[in-house]
Amino acid sequence: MLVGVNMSFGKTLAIHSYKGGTGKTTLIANLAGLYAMNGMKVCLLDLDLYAPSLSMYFRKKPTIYLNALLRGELDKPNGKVDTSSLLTDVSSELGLKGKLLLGFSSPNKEDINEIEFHHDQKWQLKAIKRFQSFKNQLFHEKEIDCLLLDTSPGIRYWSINALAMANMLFLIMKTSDMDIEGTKKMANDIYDVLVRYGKSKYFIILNKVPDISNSNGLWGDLTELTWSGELQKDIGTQVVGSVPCCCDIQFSKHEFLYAVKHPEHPFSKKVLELSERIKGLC
Amino acid sequence: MDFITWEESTKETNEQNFNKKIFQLLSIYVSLGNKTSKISLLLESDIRVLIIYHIYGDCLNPGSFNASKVDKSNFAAVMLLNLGTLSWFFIFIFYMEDIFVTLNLNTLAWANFVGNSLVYGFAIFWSIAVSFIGSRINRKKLLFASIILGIFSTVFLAFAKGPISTSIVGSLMGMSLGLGLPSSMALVANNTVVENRGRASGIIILGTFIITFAFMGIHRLLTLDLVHLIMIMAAVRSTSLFALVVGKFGRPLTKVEQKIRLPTTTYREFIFYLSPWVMFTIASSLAHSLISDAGFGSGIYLGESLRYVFIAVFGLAAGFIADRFGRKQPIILGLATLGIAYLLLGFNMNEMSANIYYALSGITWGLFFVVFLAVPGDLSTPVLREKFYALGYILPLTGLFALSAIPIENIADILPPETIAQIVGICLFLSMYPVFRAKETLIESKIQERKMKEYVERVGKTIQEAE
Repeated sequence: MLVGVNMSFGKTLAIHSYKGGTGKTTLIANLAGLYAMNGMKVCLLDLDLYAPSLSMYFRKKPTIYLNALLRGELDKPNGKVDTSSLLTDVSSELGLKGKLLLGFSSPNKEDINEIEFHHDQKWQLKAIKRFQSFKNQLFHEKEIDCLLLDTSPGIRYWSINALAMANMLFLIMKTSDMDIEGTKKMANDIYDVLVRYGKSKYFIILNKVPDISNSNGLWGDLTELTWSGELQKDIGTQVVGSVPCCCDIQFSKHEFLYAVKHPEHPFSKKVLELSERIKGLC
Repeated sequence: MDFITWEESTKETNEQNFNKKIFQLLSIYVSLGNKTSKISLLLESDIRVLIIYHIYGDCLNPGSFNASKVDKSNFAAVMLLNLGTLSWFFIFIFYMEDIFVTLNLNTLAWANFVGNSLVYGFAIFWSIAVSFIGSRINRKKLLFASIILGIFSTVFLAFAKGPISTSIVGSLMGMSLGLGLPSSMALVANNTVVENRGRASGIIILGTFIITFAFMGIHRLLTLDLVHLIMIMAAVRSTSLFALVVGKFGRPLTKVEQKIRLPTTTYREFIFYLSPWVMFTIASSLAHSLISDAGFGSGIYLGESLRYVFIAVFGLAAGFIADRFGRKQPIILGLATLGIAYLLLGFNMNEMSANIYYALSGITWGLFFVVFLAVPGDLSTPVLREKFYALGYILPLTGLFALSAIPIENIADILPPETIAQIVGICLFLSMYPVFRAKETLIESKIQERKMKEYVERVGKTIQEAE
């Protein structure tokens, strides 16, 4: 059970990574599912506009995507946006105690191309303002407790935008050298700058961590704890948790809210632990 | 990615191993950008595989073959070294004719021809020599020799009298320049990364011309005599010695660095960049001769003064433009400005047009000096850096050397100065063509990276204001 499940933390959390394939979508969907299962009103938005995957994950085909919001198609004269058809409520179909609202971005090739190539910085800043207004409405009108943003990996307009709009930034990384180097670069290039502009400190989540005791000497004398300590020192921020690499989840045909549906699985236990730690940080 | 070329130093290397190395190399480079040290380690572990790299567009660019972390004290030393060397060079060039005329009993022809030719000729010869042996000699010793030679030859100028001693001193000064300039400039490239090289060059040019301009101001205000002029020049040259105390320039190249070769297309690119540079130097010295012959005297003082101010100011601006938008923009802007200035001279050569020419040429000088301090570094590898920088100024010096042998008065007999100016103006516009053909040396990903960094700042600010 989550500690303090009734406490509203009213924060926007963004999950980001240096590379693709780190397990952002799986982790954020499971976190959202866990929070909603424990009675919170959660909204999860797919801001990975360059490679959207949330609609596939939840097997949903909405009529309106977040792209329309960013383009200004949902603008209302009073400066607000029409959110009614933008969000999909999956709480009842999943039997969740709280509320889980989902916002998807368009997987259409044309929409991805448009967001990738056709807009300048001026457009991006306008789109951010629209999104900001939408976000305020979510907290004030829909009264959500927590907004979770799934972002694009790397340094691109909509990963930066999503990170800038969040209160807390969580950086998912695997344990390879490439991820560590890339993460350090992003810490210098993005996170430190955003922290200067008032964002909370960023945190690291280790994902797909191999079982060190069974690593055939690849890790030498290192334990996960010492390694994690070294990493904290190296990157300069706190590691809030680690999620083990579970082959049955990684290679399942369609993993779907495993932490909600199979709470006894080691993966689920770790995600639960992580969700508690995140709440503790808020 | 355009291509990767490679060689094997022995026949033992099998293709499978090579492919594996290439794959490892690319994965590391793609993910880590400038982590040169990792590549060196990888290659040194199996020296048989010699990878010769040059991939345009994204990650593998010779310009990124620098220290990934720039040592600040070394960088400061490089700045000081170049400020001393370049200020001394420009002050000497500015006063060279006057000094030689004074030392040779007012023989203008000797000063114009023999003196100039000796300085330029020796500078060219020693630059070529250094570019071939430079990478095998301890750079610090080479620079020390060049600076000491520069100081002593400058001081000896005060004692020279008559053509023989002046010729010897002039030759030694040319030798000092040839020995020191390619290495000093190469060190700028070695101690900067491609995305900061333009600004570093801009700061060097700004500093150089502030010193030069201040020197000229002092000389004019205090009406210094030849001995004082020479002593201050020697003092300027000796400032570079401090750089040798602070800087660590003696690092020999590693085996891998020594064996890296560039594909021929890089040399072609370099020639594309050199063409406008050569044209610019020829045009500048031709204009100087044409305007001198017109005999405006002190009527062009304002233009001449503005020129030095503009070199400093636009040099700094060029650095920022070159790092933000690329190296080609300042070159095109410079050629267009000088082309217009020349056409103005061609339209009517009078005091006003000469003044405007000098002022506008200052803009071009500033833009060009900076870009041509950055481009050879962008295109070369550590072992070839001296050669690229030597070539970068040997060609213009050869142009000057050739021009010092051409009596302009005779050309003016055949063609009026205005016509010459018009022809050169058109040539300047035409020399934009190779620049358009050349590939940008500031790679696209670096331009993009900078844009993104600025964007993060803008977004952070926007959200902060909105909240």
